[in-house]
Amino acid sequence: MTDLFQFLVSGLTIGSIYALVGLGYYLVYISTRVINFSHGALVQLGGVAALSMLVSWRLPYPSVFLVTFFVMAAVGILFDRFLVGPAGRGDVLTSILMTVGGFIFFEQAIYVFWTKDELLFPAISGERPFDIFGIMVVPQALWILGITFLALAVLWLFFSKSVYGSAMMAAAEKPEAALLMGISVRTMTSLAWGLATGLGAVAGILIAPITFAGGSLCAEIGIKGFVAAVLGGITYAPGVVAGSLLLGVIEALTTGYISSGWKDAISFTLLILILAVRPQGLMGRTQKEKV
Amino acid sequence: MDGTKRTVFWLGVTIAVAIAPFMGISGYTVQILTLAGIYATVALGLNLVLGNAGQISLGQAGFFGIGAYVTAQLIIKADLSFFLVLPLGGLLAGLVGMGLGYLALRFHGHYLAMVTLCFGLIMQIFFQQVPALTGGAAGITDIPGPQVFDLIVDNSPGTWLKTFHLAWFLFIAMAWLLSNLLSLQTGRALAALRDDPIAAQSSGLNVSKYKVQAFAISAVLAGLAGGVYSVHTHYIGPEIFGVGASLEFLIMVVVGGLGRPMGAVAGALLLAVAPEFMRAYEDYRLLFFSVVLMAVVVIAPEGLWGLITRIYSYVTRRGSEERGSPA
Repeated sequence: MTDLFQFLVSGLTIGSIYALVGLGYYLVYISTRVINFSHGALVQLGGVAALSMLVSWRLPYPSVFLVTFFVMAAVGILFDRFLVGPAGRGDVLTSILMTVGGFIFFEQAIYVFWTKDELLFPAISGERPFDIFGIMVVPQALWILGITFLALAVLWLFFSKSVYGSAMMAAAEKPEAALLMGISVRTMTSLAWGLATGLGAVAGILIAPITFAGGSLCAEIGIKGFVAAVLGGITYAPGVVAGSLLLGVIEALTTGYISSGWKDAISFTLLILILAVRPQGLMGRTQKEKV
Repeated sequence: MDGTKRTVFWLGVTIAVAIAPFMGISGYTVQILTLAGIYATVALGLNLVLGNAGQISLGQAGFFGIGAYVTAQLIIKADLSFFLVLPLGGLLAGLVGMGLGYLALRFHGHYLAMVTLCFGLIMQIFFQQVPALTGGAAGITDIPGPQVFDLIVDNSPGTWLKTFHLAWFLFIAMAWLLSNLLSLQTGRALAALRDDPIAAQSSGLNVSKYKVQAFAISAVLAGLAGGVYSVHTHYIGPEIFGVGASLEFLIMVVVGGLGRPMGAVAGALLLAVAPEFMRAYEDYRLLFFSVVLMAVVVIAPEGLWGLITRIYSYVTRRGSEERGSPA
């Protein structure tokens, strides 16, 4: 029984990371109908950049979060403004090729400008695990859960209470109508991309002390985040979060009870099954495709 | 091209390939060009999916791997001839490709890209996690070269039949078959599927059939190329058949020129040969190609081969204008 709770805790921890990554896919998708294949590489780029600030520049942890968030947000905005946008977001093949090109670029940038190895990353507050009713919890897990919760709360406030949040949703749902209401769709698109890559970078920093940081991890975190987003429904934010937590738990249980070697194969198969049977995700709403 | 011209063209290309390695190029160059021939075959197949059918596959390395493992294992474990097992590798890859093709019927665009990406990753995990079939993480070493009577086919200086020939003869045979296929109804059907799938379907075209066909054929080509790869390098392992390889195949096709068989050759040559000219910058190789890929998508969607043909037609037109003939 303790085993089960142990797996649940680690599942929810990793699931929170997937939620931050998955929300990045969600934000970009609803505002530009693009699946950003470079997202996983941007997550890891945020991670290694943060490590440089921590270790080489000796910046304090909280400021590293802030600086990385804004720097990576800028990278995302520039990538969209100068490459994905001009190539044509409407054409699916073009946008896939462009963001796949971006993936290779950002991944290789990590290899070339940092290292080919996976980098050891200091945890926010030590490594010694707490014992909570017989379940061992590392402090980093609490930080991950806490910061994710905080980020989700801020996002929720932003979208439900602020004018900018409403404007962003309007620009995403009905660009022409939003334009007529005086909303700059271009600015809102950039805001969505910036928020997406910024959140991804935060996820990259948070997960690094548990899984290391490095270029070789780009594909994995990128695909996991996507699976998580699609599992719950990529057009519905609460679905993305729920799907992420579910995926995290499924993975933890697979690792615990079956084998860690097959863990990834199981989540990828899950993705294919979900997409085949219920493309809108477990909680998503159906959309009729217009001819 | 009319019938005679076509025959002359294909014969000429075949003879050129047959004598190419004996034209005073170094053994090392032959090795590189062999790899280019193997890549070109994979790119030719992927081009069918991407350029002709307008679908996408980010898991081509999975099929490449299936062909390589089947060929290598049957040669070693069953002691069969390479020429017997190569088609089997292609066949198995084709069957899996057909399965993926049927699955692909349910997906469009981004989702199809992700599903094929996942397929590639699942195959890589399979290659790594089933040591009984694949040698696991250590891979398979000492794969013997193919044997024709007493002659062992490899790229060593003395032999008259080289792996180079296997790679490029395979490419020519496949390119010939495909060009015949595409000049038939299939070519037009695939173009219709790419340009407007809904209109194609409403004009009574069996869209599903052609979609599955494109995936299956591309998988067969990748599988066959994988088989040649295994006897070329004499070693295969799971790290060779990862996402990176699938993405490199994608770069070849897009940079070379979508929908053009010669584009596959141009892309494969570029990716196999260019590293030799930038040896000092080996680490920057993929960074460089990712920039090229993005530049091609924005600036020159017709790719390298499209650019070459455009320049060629521009030059010849100017030439004929200078001679005073009517434009």
